[in-house]
Amino acid sequence: MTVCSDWQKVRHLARYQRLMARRGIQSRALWWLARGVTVAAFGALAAFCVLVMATLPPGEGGRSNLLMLIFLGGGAFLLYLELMVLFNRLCVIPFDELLVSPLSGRAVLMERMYEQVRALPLYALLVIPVVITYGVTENAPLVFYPIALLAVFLTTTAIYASAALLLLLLLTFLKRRMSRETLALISSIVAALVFVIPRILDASTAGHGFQINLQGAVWSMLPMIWGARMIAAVAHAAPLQAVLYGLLLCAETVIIAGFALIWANRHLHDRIGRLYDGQHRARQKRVRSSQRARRSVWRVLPLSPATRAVLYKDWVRLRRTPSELIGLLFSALYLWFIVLRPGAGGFSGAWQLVIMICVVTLPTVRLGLSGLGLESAQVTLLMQAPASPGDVLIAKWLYAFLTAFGWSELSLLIYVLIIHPPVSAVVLTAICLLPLVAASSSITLPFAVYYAAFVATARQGRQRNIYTKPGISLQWLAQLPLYVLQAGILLYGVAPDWPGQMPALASLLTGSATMHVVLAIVASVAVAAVVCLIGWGMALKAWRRRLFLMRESGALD
Amino acid sequence: MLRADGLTKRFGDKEAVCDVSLTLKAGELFGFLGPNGAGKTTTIRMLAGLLTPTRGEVRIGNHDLERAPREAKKLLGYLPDKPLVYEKLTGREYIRFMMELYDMPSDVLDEAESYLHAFALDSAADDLISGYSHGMKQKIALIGQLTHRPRVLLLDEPTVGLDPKGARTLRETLRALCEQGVAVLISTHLLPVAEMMCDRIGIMVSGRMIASGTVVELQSRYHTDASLEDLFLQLTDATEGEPAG
Repeated sequence: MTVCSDWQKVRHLARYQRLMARRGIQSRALWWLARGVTVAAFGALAAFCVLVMATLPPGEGGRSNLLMLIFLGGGAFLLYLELMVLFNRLCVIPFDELLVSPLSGRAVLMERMYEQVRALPLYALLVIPVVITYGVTENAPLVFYPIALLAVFLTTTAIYASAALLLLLLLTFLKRRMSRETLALISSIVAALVFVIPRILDASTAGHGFQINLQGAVWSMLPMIWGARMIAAVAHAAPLQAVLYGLLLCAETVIIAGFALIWANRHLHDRIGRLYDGQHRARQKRVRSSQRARRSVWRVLPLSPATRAVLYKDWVRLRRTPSELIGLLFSALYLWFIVLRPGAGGFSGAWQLVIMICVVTLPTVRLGLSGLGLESAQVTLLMQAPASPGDVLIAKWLYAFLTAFGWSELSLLIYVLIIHPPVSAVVLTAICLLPLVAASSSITLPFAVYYAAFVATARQGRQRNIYTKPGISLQWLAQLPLYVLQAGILLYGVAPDWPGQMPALASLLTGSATMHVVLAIVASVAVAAVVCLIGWGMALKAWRRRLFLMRESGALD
Repeated sequence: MLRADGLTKRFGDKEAVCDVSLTLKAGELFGFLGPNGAGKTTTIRMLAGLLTPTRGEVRIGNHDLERAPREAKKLLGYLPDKPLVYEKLTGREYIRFMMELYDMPSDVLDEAESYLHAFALDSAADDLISGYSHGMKQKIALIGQLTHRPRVLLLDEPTVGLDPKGARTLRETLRALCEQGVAVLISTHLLPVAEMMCDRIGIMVSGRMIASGTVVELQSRYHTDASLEDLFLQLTDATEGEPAG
C-alpha cells in the first residue's frame, strides 16, 4: 500500500470522525464558550508578550532572547499537548475497528495524527503576534513577514512530528497501558527537561531566577529555537543563517516524520496488541485483603447504610486507582519548586503560606468531580437501590472532602517541616483548611452532578474523559470568590505573626493576635457554612433533576 | 407481589410500550418473550423504577413504586442485560457493597458464599471484577441482586454469556427462589428454556402484550398443539404483519 492510498483512507476516516464528533457535542453554546475561554487565555498571554517585546530597549539582544524564550515555552507546551492528545487517541480510546481492518500501521498513525492538527493553531495564536511585533520593532524588511510565517509553520510541524516519535518510542518500552494521568506526569517532565537540560549543560547561560540567556551554543541544539533563530536572522539581514535554520527544520521534520511512519508501519499493531495483553495480565492481580477488620471502622460512622456503602466503595476505588492522585502531585511539585524556594517569585511569609494553601487545595476539586463522573453506567445500581438522593450526595461529598482535607493537611505538614513558620499560623491554617476544603468540595458538587456523563456501557465509559467535559471549566469561576475570601481571612489571621507582610485589610483593624485568630476562624467557618448551604442546595436540586431526566428519557447520558 | 396496570411509555412521538398490564404472584416464574425492539426492556425498566411510565402504575408488594419508592425498591431485585458492576472491586467486595447498600444483616454473607460456590465463582471471588469475563460479571451481578433477598426479581436476558453449567445453576436457583415465594420475571429469547421453566408466559410485540397465560392456555386459546417456539413465531409474524394503526 502506498502513502497516497493510506492518505485517502485517512481522509475518508477523518470525515466520519468529524461527523461523530459533531453529534457528540451536547451543548454547542458550552463548546463555543470553552473554546472561547482557551483562545482568550492564549490571546491574553500573547498580548502580554507583545507588550513586553514592545517595551524592551533595542540593540541589546533582549528582543531576540524573548522571541526565543516564547518559541521555547510555546514549543514545550505544544509538545506536552500533542503528547497528551496523541496518547489519548492511540492508547486510551479503543480503536479495535481500525486495528482489525486491513489498514497499515502507517495509515492508523496518520489518521490519529490528522485528527489532532486542530490543536496547532493555539501555538500560532501565541507566537505570530510576537513575531509581527518583533518585525515591527526591529524595522525588518517586508520579506521578513512571509518568511517568519514559514518559520512558525516549520517549527509547528517539527514539534508535531517530534511528539509522535516520542510517543512511539514510549510505546516501544511500555509493557501495558498507561493512564492519562501518568502520561501527563511524564509529558510535563519531558516539557520541563527542555528547559532544564540545556541549563545544566551550560550553566553560564543561566541568569537570576527565571531569566535565561538563550544565545548560548547549547540552546542552538534545540529544534524549538531554530525557528526563532531563522526569524532573527532574516530581521538582521543574515540570509545564509536563515536558510541554514530553515533547512535544518525541514530536514528534522522529514526525518522524524518518515521514521515515525516507517516504525508505525512495522510495529504499531504489535505494540498496541502488547499493551492490551499487559492490561489483561494486570487485571488478573488478586486482591487478598482482610477487609472485614477495616470495614468495622466504617461501620462506626454515623451514616446511613447506603451512604456508608457508596463512600467505602469510592475509597477502595481511589486506593486502586493511584493515577487519580497523580494529578495532585503537580501541585506538590509546584509547592516544592516555586513556593518553597525562598523568595521565589517575590512571595514570602503570609503570602507564601496562603498561595501554598490555594495551590494545594484547588486541584483536589477533581476528586469531587470524579466521585460522580466515574460512576458511569453503574449509577443505575444507585437508582434502583433504596437510597435517597441525599444518601448518595453525602457519600460523594464526604469522599471528596475527606480525601482533599487529608491531602491538604499533609501538604501543610511538609510546608511546616521545610519553612518553620510561626506555630500559631500553622495551627490557624490547619483549622481554617477544614471549612475551606468543606466549602470547596460542596461548591464542586452541583457541577459534578450536572456535567457527569453516565454513559450506557463501561466500555463507552473508558472512551471518554467523563468528568472533564468543557462545561466543567465553569466551576473554576465559582471557586474563585470562595478562595479569594478564604485567602483574605487567612491573611488577616496570620498577619500579626508576620508584621512586615500584614495585608492592608489586617492593618485597618486593630486588636491582639488572639483576636485576629479567633475572628479569622469564625469568619472562615461562617463563609464556609454559607457556601456549603448554597452548594448543597444546588447539588440536591441538580441530582433530583438528573434522576428525573434519566427516569423520563431512559438514557443515562 | 407485583402488579402493573396500563403501563405506557412514549419517547417523543414514539410509543415504545402501550397499555401493558401484568401481575406476578408470589412464587411465580413469569417468562417475558418478544422479538427485538418489542419493548420488553423498557417495560422491565419501568417495573424496576428506572423509567417513569407516561401512564399507568406499578405496585411492588403493597407499595406504589412512584409514591413509596424506597419501600418498594427494598423488595425489588433487577439484573439488566448488560451486567453493571464496579470493576475496581473484587467479587466479594461487590457483594458486601450490595449488602450494605440494602442494609442487610451480616448473616447474608454465608448465603452469598453458597451462591458463589454454586456459580463456581468462589475461586475468583477475591479477584478484581475488571478481570472477569462477561459471563462471570453476569454471575456476580446476579449474586449481588440475590444477596438482598428480593421478593420480586426482574431479570433481563440473564442467560446471555453464561456457560451451560452457569445457565443450569441459574435455572435451579430461580426455581428454588420461587419455592421460597419470590416472584420472578425473566426476559429471554431461549424459548425452549422458557417453556421448560416458566409458570406463565407473556408475549410482547410492538409495545403491546398480545398474549399471556400458561403454555397450555395459550395452545388452547389459539387452537394449536404447537411448541411454544412455533406458537411464538405464529403470533409475532401475524402481529408484525398487521398494518400500523
